[in-house]
Amino acid sequence: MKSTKLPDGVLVNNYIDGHEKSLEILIYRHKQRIFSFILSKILDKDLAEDIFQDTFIKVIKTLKKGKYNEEGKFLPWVMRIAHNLVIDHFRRSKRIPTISNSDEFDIFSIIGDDVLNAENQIIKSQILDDVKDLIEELPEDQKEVLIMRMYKDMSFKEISESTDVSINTALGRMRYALINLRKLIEKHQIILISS
Amino acid sequence: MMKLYSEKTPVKEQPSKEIIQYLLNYSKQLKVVKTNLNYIELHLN
Repeated sequence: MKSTKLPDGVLVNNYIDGHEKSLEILIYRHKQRIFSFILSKILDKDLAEDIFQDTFIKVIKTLKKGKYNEEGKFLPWVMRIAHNLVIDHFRRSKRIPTISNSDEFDIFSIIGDDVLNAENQIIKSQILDDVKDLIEELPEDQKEVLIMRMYKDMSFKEISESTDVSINTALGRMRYALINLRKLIEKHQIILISS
Repeated sequence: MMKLYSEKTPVKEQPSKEIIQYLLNYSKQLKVVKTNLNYIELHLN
């Protein structure tokens, strides 16, 4: 059986129908891309493995519950799950202050950092909200490419396959999306600065 | 021409074989039963 030739959508359906081998093929097909994405954000191999594992546990549960409805876009869907788990990880780690075992422990290093982090976090979240609003004003085709590239971390090859256009068209849409974003920033006189 | 984006350096790291095997075993052992209200997850050894 030439299992590696089967598209993701077919493998997903086969897995939902009880063909366990299909999951193995999907994991082996995409493990490096998904793991590299997680590791690039977490920078810790053990933690990245935990998040990789949690990502696929979510995938397995969702598929077995018959709740998957992405119609052939398996990888972007898994990447989104991984992305959300990475964000969860950072949110959790910011809530738990870590104290190193040192004789030169300085309580103000923690208190000061927390205050600054909270402020920075608010500023960053406001910036992200502003950017999201701006993206909403982009033409649909440009918005789609920009979200896939910036939020889903997809390559232009994957974007071109996913949107059924050439790589050059995807690149062009990204270029115009960025140009139009700059115009929108000027139009709305928005200042996007984070310390 | 101005460069609008840069390609990220690919990280050629892989998850361990144990993680993959754990996931495959987890999948084989997991049975999901749908009830009127929600789903019940059964882990069969």
